[in-house]
Amino acid sequence: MSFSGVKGSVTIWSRQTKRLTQWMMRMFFAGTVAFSIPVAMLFEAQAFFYGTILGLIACIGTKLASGLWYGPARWVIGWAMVGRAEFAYLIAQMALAYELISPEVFVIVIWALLYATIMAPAGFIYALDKHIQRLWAEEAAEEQDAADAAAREADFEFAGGERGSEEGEGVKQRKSALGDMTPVLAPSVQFLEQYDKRGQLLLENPTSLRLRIVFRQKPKKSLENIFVSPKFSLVKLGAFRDQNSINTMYGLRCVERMAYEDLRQLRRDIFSKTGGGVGFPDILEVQYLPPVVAPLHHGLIKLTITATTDKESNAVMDSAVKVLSRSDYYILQMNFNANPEGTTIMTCIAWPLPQVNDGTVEGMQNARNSGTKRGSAQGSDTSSVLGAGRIATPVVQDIGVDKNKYYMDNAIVSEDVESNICSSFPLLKRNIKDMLVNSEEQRDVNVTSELLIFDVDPLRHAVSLPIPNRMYGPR
Amino acid sequence: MAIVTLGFGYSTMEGVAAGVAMAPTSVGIALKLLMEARQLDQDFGQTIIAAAFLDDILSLILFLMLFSLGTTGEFDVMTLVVKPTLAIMFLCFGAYLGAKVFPHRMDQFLHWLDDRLKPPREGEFSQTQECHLGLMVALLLLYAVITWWLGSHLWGCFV
Repeated sequence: MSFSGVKGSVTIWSRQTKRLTQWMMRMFFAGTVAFSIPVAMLFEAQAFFYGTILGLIACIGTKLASGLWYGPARWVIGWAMVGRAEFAYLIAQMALAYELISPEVFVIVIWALLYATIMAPAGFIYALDKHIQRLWAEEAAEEQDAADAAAREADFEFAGGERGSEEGEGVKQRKSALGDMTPVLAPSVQFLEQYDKRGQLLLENPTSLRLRIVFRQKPKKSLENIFVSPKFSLVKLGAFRDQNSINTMYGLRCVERMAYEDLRQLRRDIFSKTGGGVGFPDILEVQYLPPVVAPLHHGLIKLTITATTDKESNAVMDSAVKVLSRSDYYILQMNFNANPEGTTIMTCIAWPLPQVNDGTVEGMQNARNSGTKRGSAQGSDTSSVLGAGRIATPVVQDIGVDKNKYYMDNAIVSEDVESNICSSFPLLKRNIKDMLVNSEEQRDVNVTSELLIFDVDPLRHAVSLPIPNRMYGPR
Repeated sequence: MAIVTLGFGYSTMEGVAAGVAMAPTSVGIALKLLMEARQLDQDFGQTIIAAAFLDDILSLILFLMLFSLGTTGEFDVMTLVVKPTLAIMFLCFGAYLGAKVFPHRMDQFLHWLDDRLKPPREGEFSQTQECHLGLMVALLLLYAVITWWLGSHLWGCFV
């Protein structure tokens, strides 16, 4: 406990003592508790019967009752407290060794503890799942209420304060304050065109909506097959996995302009459908990622980040997403390889968002300067990625099914171009490194980058890099 | 205790000992699942962890008191009152150090070491990390020895 607040302690302790601790514990408990159990007495009918009563009432029932005062999470708390492990067995064995209890009582206690040891994980998983589903349902209901309230208010404003069948308290108050007043200046046509009748902002490019969905295990069915709609489709952009979950990134491709609320509704649908267990009982969370505009592009960077973390390996990914988003990069895909000893290797494909680069010397100079200053190369144009004065002709490949064709011909991506690219992003890499190091979770970070060039709409043709099969690599 | 004593007809001491043996809570599985579900930072997650630790410590104190009573059969003030009280005070002191003093001071010390020791080769432990581990082991042993004087070395492992 003393070192729990000191950074790096968990990683260092677990890495150095893991194997030793495993074997020491096995030997210790085999030499104490395990060999002290009188096996012949253990299977006597009376011992089993008494043990069952003691286990169900004293061992499980009382612990379950201890959480009853805790509100909605009472069963989670109760089942968590039911768990028994080596420490309880050790105390029982010590009591036997010091002749505080007879072998008959010891055997009864062992049976009772076995009941708790076996039933606790199943009960806890069940209670926790139920509780999390209830939390999601509440969150979805709150969002729905908030959305309804916003829609009513927008409806009211849009109609100049005279329309709105369902008026909440806030709307009534505002209406009362407005009285019979009408807007002096009517909104312009261009302004109105951005909104639908509900006052919802219509997104010109709905592909900007991206979702990160975290699964506990690999889903059996793809989300794209479930959310089929004439208005939009989900496109899988990529996936990566960490120690405990599989993170999948989806982009939303829309046929026509859509109201923002419709996109929010999609997220609620995912919650409700997945919460209901329609093929996705193990979904952990659904997040929005920062909105971006997805253009046709042909200049990408590939970042490889190696970090030694003290906490969850997800922190590396979150930090990198944050930095890249701030640096006007759109993360297309990530691969993630983490081992339980704290080392995380993340490979990330990203492209710079398009900025104004009119092709003039000045424009390219500005793009290059701003790229250097902000740690990012501006523009989807390869020339601005490479820097002014170094124009490489992109090779447009038909991506087809051969994903290896993404890579530019080796003859074109020569070493000096690669080194030029790498030198174009020193600040970006430093920013990522600084942020990871300063995020209080990483102690050692290394960032490298390389250039990939291809011409592809990522929402039309999902780009895929092989995900390592082995999650836990030997050190 | 009541079930063992009244229901099964064993002695009171055996009933109490069985009750103490069933008191500790294992938090290993709950901790793993809470981390997987990312609920460890929730109120109920923290409640579970704190309750489990407290449960273990109190069980151990109770067991040692019981052991003292059961083996000597006498009420020894030093063993049953003074030492457990000192142990609880020491646990609180250790918790205070762990929460308020160590995170900041150790961080400063490790950075100070880091500036003076050799940087590690790739994939290897640095000398600072080795010192870090050594300090943890040394403190663990120190606490175990102190709490051994007070009743049980196992208390020190919780601090």
